[in-house]
Amino acid sequence: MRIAAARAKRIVLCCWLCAACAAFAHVGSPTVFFQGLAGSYPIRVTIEPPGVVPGLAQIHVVVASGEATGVTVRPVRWDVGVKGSPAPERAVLVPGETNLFTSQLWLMASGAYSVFVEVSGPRGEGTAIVPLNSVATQRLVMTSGMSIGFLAAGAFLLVLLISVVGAAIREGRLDLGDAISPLRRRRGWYARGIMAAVLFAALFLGYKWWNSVDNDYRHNRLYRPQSIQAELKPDAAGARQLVLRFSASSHLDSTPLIPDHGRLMHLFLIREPDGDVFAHLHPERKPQERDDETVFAARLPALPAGQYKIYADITHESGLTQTLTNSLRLPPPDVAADLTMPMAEADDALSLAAPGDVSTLAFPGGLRLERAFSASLPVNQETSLVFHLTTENGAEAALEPYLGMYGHLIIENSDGTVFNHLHPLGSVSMVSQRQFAEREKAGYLANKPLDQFCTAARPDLSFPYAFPKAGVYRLWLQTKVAGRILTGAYLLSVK
Amino acid sequence: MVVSSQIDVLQGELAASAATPASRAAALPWYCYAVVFAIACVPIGVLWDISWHLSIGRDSFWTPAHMMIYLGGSVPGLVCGWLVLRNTFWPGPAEQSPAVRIWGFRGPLGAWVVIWGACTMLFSAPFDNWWHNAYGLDVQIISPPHTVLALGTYAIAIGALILVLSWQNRSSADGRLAANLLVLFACGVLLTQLTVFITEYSYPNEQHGGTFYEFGCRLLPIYLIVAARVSKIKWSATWVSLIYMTIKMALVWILPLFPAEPRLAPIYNPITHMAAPLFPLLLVVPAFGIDLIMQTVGRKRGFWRDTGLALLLAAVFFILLLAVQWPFSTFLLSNAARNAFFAGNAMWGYPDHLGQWCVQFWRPENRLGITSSVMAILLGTLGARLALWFGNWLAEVKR
Repeated sequence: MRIAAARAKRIVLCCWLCAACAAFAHVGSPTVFFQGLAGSYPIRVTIEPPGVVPGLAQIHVVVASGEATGVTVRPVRWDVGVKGSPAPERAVLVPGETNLFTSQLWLMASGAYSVFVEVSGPRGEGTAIVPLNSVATQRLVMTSGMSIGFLAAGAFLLVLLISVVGAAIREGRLDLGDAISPLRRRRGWYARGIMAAVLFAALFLGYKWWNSVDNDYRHNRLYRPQSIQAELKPDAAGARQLVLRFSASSHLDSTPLIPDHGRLMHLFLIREPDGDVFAHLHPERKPQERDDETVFAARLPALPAGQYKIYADITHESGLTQTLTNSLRLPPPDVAADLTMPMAEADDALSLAAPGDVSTLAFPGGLRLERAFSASLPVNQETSLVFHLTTENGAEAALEPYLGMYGHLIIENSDGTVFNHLHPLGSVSMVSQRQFAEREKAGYLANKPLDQFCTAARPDLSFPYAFPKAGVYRLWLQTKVAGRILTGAYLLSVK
Repeated sequence: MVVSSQIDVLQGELAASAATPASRAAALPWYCYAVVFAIACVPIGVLWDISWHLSIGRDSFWTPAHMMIYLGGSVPGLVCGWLVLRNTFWPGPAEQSPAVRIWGFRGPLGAWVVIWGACTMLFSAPFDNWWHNAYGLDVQIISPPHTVLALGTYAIAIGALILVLSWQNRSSADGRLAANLLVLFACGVLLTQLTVFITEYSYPNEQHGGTFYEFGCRLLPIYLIVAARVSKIKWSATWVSLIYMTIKMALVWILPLFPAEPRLAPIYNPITHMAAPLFPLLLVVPAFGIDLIMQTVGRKRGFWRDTGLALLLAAVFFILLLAVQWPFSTFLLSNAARNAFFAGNAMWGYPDHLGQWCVQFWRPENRLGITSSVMAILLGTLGARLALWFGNWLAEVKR
């Protein structure tokens, strides 16, 4: 609650921050959520990355068991590791709270970072690794009040300087007690005029300079989602195939791609405007035709015709995660849509149900998926999105790992400016977490089992999240039971 | 030799001035000392702050380096504000009141310039804060808000110089030694501030490049020439360069004595002590050249005479700067300079990936050539001409 209140205050303070539509393993939802273990302490971490780099990240740590005596946080950049990190920063216990710690950390460079959260208490010490992307995602717009303040102060300084120069020429070289001659008065006015012209020229040059800095920021430093090109091409067997191309090199990260949950790319196709068709596919890498491009392709299931949003999640070796976006108009399948057509991959999934404002969904075999939270949630308030999957006799269904996790929750708002792919451990990528742990196995984490630092998948369907803006959201919950992938679609209102 | 003989002369003048009752009556006012010594806090504070950013990284509003910069703005600002109020509401006789009138208020011209500088410094703070929120923390030293801050600090220093100069120009020869010394000190502080602003272009690794000489010739001679024109002390440009070098060298030797631990990631260079500022440019040599020329040419003025003089000064400055810094920068990049005296390896901070580039000359495409040499002299001529014009005006300022 306190986190939510603090965030709400910051939202008010930052209402003049105009968020660009940036994307990572999310679109327009930069806050990082993690719930897992630090040693034997269950913790919940929220990181609000700065809008600009270098900038200050806000970190909140809740130690669920309430027995921590101290919490430290340390920013670790992927290329230098703990060795190139400063001493851990002590997080402060929020007054009046027993288990909520808070701290700030500077992120000085762009790229993949992680925050090492260390908890100490009666059960010893424990560490959790929370990866995050450090990039500029926001463009600050000056409020009208601030603009007026700056203009007024600037005008005051300009007029004062012009007056000082005029007085200097008029009286500066007069002997004490001498009267000011008309000639000197005239020269004073000439000096004011010349100074005003010089200052306006200087202001113009300053304006051009500011613009060039702003242009550089917008084009070179502000993160822009990497574009992905999508086209339909028949594969060797004549089936519809979606070919995806994107640049192999990025100024942000040039490390190779690595598999997340065993797949290099997780592709989501959502039919607009209602989200009544949802596909989760796993394109395979194909030989590139040019050196500077990466090519993926996936055989499409029998998707109905329409306009689709494309979201493609990829992870770099550094630990940086990205969501590449585009949209595509699909024509009707060449053959009559056969919805029972097998998927290209066993882990691919397709849902043809429009998200609805319902609390319970029924699946074949008597399975029932229940939404255990309100269909109307407040904006920017951290909450647990909890679902219960029960069998026909009311017992909790035995979940099976699907792509390494017991649950995947895909969130999209109606205009496509927010997209996120969550797991019960939060919005972080497990493979990024592992990458950071692997790099420390010869140093900071030497002689410790790496799995201790890579939170195991939780066998429940609880997802920590805060909706970043108001609007109508669509949620697709994916899980696996008895070898079958289930996809439940919900509609949610955020105010 | 020249320097030691000058010290003898100064000591003699100081002793003589202290001995006469007339000079006691015309003693330099306390506020001149307060303002001039306060302005030295600015370049020292800024150099300290740069070292802090390179060594510790994390800072706050209240770091000692920041406090020193605030001191350099607030003390002159408050003192000069008080001077204006005193001259406005409790004025003395007109023939004893060195004041100019602005918006109905009266105060010494230098005080007005200082007040403008202090207000500009104050204005730069929220602008800089907004800039950090908009584009990131101190991505570049030379940014619009830093330029506004630098303008404010330069204005304060120039105001202090005018405040003391007006007193010097009104005083008789036997009672103005203290003012003469403060004028030189103020010029030395201004020169140090200028060198801070062009830090990014004056690394030893840049000193075989055209950009360094273009910036250097355009800016560095300004206060040397102003000092040579306004000061009543011989070899004033040389003294000013020595003041600059002393301030810089003191910081080069003192700052690395203090332990420091980086507190921001990524740390590519795990330093254990404060980073040193760049070793000062050996400006004493070109400054000596400026003094020689100015003394040879004399104090006669005229538009074309000063324009020709500016060209001569720029050419000599360029040649002497090149003759000194070209080999000296090679030395600073060598192993022989990797010691506590020259701090050849102590200027890199925690964010620097140390490597061969640290001891190489950068940007070979920018290497000094005929075109950039001519450009440096032309820009230097422009700077020198403006300095002569400004110096001529300052030499007559009375209020």
